[in-house]
Amino acid sequence: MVAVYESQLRKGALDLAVLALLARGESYGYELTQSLIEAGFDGLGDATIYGTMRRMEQGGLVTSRLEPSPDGPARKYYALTADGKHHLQTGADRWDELAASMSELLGRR
Amino acid sequence: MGRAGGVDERAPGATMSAVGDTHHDAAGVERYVDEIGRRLRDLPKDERSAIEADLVQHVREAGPRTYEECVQHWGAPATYADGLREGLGLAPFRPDRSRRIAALLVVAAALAGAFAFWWSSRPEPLPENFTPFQPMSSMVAGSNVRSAGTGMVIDLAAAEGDARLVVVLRNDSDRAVEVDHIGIPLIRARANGITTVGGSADEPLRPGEVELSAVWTTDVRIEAVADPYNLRSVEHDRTGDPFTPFTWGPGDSYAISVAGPVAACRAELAPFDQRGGNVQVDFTVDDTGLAYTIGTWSLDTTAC
Repeated sequence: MVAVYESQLRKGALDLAVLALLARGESYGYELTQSLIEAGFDGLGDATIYGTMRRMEQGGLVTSRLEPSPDGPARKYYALTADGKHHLQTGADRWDELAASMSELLGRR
Repeated sequence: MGRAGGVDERAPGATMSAVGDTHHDAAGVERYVDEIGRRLRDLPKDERSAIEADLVQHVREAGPRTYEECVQHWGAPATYADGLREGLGLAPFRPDRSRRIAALLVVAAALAGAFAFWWSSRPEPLPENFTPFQPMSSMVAGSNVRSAGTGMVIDLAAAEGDARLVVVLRNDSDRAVEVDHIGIPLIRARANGITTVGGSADEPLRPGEVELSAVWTTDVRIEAVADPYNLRSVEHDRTGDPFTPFTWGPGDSYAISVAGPVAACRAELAPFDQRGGNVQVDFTVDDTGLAYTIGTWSLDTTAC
């Protein structure tokens, strides 16, 4: 039950986490995955992250470009769009509000 | 890129060769992607095609080069598709119920068809008054036979050697008959002071009937059963041999030949001063045990 709860919590935060990572600069799939794992999203598979990136790209939050690689296949780099930056800011604000409410509910304040 | 819960094993800057030494199997990768695509078939075709094309690029970037390596890295295609749908914000894949229903309907229709076929072709008990065979008068002939006809006396020539009688019968009923036996009754008994060979032991002779001699009857045989029009085969030509069962279809005609020594007949019949004759040919058809007698097929032994 705890595992399911944690998984759902991470999934709910995944979009915001990806936007936050891309706010640092453009990145590609493998690098994003590694960064997410380091941030505690190790319960999510590549397929879910890849699907998320595609959905966000279709939603206009991120954009991608193929970068030829001299030592391998071309790599797809993702970057935030203006909408993505706005979405990140809005999401971050809501996250803060939710975190504050939850802290108060949980008596952590 | 990793399997569900795992990570991509390809380090930044890694090349395709870092994955292993196996050869690149484009078809295998495409198959893996195709199988994922099957679980996206509820999406619009354009969108699904775009995802599949993008997935191929994604796989190339990640490193696996064969179907097996894809499975090793990410798990079964179905597992990957489930995660992908989750990331895309789609509901879990459910096989199309209408396809299942259609498949069930096809199976049901096939079963109904098979049942209908079985029902229509199953052997039905034959009614008691079922008389499938009628001799064709124009098709009665034989060696040592002077005249022939249905319900008529057939004259045998007073000649030595075998007499051969051929009667063509046609199945005038509307159903096929499985003929599992054709034979001449060989019961020999005494009735009314007369030795009777053929028919029931207690059956008295009727006007015009005559018992055939033991010599005749023991040699009488169904010599041949063949299609008189196609002359395609002589299926039974062995003396006394119960022939192979066959299906006598509606409208089909077959020739039945009976042969026996005439000379012996004459020698045996003379003391009884009997005239006329009757050879009964019994057909035991189907598995009902019913026997049919062609009583109009006669041999006249007057000449004997």
